[in-house]
Amino acid sequence: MRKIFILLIALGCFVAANAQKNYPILTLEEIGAVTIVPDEVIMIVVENVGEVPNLAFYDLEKKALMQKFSAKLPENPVAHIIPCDNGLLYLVTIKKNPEDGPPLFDAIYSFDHKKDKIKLVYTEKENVHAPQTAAAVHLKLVLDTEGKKGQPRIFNIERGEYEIFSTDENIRMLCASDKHNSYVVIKINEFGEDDTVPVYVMDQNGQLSESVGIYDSRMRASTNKEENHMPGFTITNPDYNWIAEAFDNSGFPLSGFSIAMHPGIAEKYNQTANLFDIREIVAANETYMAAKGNYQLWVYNTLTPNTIKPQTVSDEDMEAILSYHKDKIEYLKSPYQSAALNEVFRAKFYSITEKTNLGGDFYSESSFIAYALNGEYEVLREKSQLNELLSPGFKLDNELTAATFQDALNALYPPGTFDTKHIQFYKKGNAWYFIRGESFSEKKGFVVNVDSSGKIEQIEEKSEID
Amino acid sequence: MKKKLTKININMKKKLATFLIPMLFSFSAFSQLSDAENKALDELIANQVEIEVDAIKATAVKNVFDAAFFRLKTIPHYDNNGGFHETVLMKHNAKILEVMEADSLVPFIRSDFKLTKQADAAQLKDALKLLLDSATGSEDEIVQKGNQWILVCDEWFGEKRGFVVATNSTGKVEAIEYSDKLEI
Repeated sequence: MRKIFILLIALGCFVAANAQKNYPILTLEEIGAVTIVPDEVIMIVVENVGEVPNLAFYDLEKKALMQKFSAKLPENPVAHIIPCDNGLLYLVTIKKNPEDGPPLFDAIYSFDHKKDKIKLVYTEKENVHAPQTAAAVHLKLVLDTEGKKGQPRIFNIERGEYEIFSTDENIRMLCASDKHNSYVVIKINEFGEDDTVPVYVMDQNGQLSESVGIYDSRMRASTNKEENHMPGFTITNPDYNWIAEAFDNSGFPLSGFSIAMHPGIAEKYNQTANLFDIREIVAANETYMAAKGNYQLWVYNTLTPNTIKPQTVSDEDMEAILSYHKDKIEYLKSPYQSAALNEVFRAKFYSITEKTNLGGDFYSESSFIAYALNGEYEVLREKSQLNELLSPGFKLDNELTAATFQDALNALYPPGTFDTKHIQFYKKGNAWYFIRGESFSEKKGFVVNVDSSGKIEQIEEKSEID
Repeated sequence: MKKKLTKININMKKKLATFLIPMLFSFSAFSQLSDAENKALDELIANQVEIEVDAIKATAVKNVFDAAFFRLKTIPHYDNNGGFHETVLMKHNAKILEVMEADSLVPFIRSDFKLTKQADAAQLKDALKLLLDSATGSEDEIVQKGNQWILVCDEWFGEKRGFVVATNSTGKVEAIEYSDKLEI
């Protein structure tokens, strides 16, 4: 059995364990490049199904193929499909790097879907990195070949040549917006010590706005959820409130931390049913999002999530599989037997161990604590839940009752071999300290605040006790 | 708990309940629990363990193997660490088996699947990648050595890991063996 533990640390702040899952509205296979047209229900893909690849349009509202095209695609793979204001699609191809490095930019082709015709527009003669992302702003193609290190290449479709993005070398693009005919930019020399930077909007002619807000680039992942911080915009000019969404729906394909850098997309990603299988998010607009993984392309309606799981397994197969599973897993249940527990808490506690047969005599085990209170059974997930389970008659007012409290902790959370020597308790002011172990010379355990009568006001777990 | 249940469709709920609850009863004989406690804890556990089953219908798998494959995902919600168990199962002649080793898949390769060219090897590699943990990895090298095809899946401190596929003269696959020290 494969046991996989994925800790989505960076995205942890978004994960809601009980969130409703969003199942795909469409699942396709053998798909190459993908784009979803902004503000429309059309997805354009390169299909690799037959002998030769082809372009196809899918109607996402109808969840069905709309049109398949026969125009012969370029020999080199299509990396990006860019819908443009002139009604044409532009295909950016990439080629193998002769020096075994990352792929190189190959060429730009136009595709006229009305005539089902492909035409070579531009061939790159230099050794240029393949664009990581590609977009259009009116009649200009925006090819991000340099990432954060430089400015994007702007290919002017009408003139058939490159033009300068900006003469100000400090300007970097955060995203392009075809809908607003502009680029969202920052100046790298304006980064403050707090990693925030003013945001500007540059129109298609290179005119720069006044600052329209702030981009906070800080990204912090911590086991303490309150310390997590994701990058994001604070827009001060309401005319530019579209920026956050434009940024979210740009920069594809996104994978790993780059998903976390797009907060709106990260939120949608975390709702997907295929969360653990998604390798990269390849396209999105205001309503739909497409992601790849396990050789499949999944399309989600992110505006109106599909909460019904598509049935891919027959009832008969499901029954056989569940029966097989039943033989593999057993749950061992036992009550905690401790006088101290009964004295300190009004709940009754149970240990539940899931024992999984991994084949032959190999087993894996994982345990959790459950409790019963007033006929209701629950899982003890957080130590803070203990506060609700205290016996109203219990007073932590002397060494004897503190020893009882410690015994109760020992029953619920038996100390490990290396922790035993650190087990102790003491009182300072209105708080009792119950040391449960040490980590990197820092004491850890519980701090229990009591009132003047010894009634417990709060039990708090601390990873660092002074 | 009730909130969690709403996530699973009704059919699934019924199946899970009929599957989990009787199963749980049988392992508490020595646990000094009353019938009421047993029942309540069984229900609690059933609501804490989400089971998802999906058919693996990728073209590569269908083109290479003559069996139905499923991905069984068990997601425990009794902790919040985001972990899950995943198993790939195979159904052949109405029997469910767990896919663990590449070699155990050989008897289920389609009789019309022949490994004679690079594209066939790539398809076999794609299929294995969907079925076996050991076939995942970022390497994408395929080398032919006579009747042997070497499928490189991963590299670890300079050692290439993957599969050695032996065929007969017609391209019929006779053995697939995993190696963490492939010789190319």
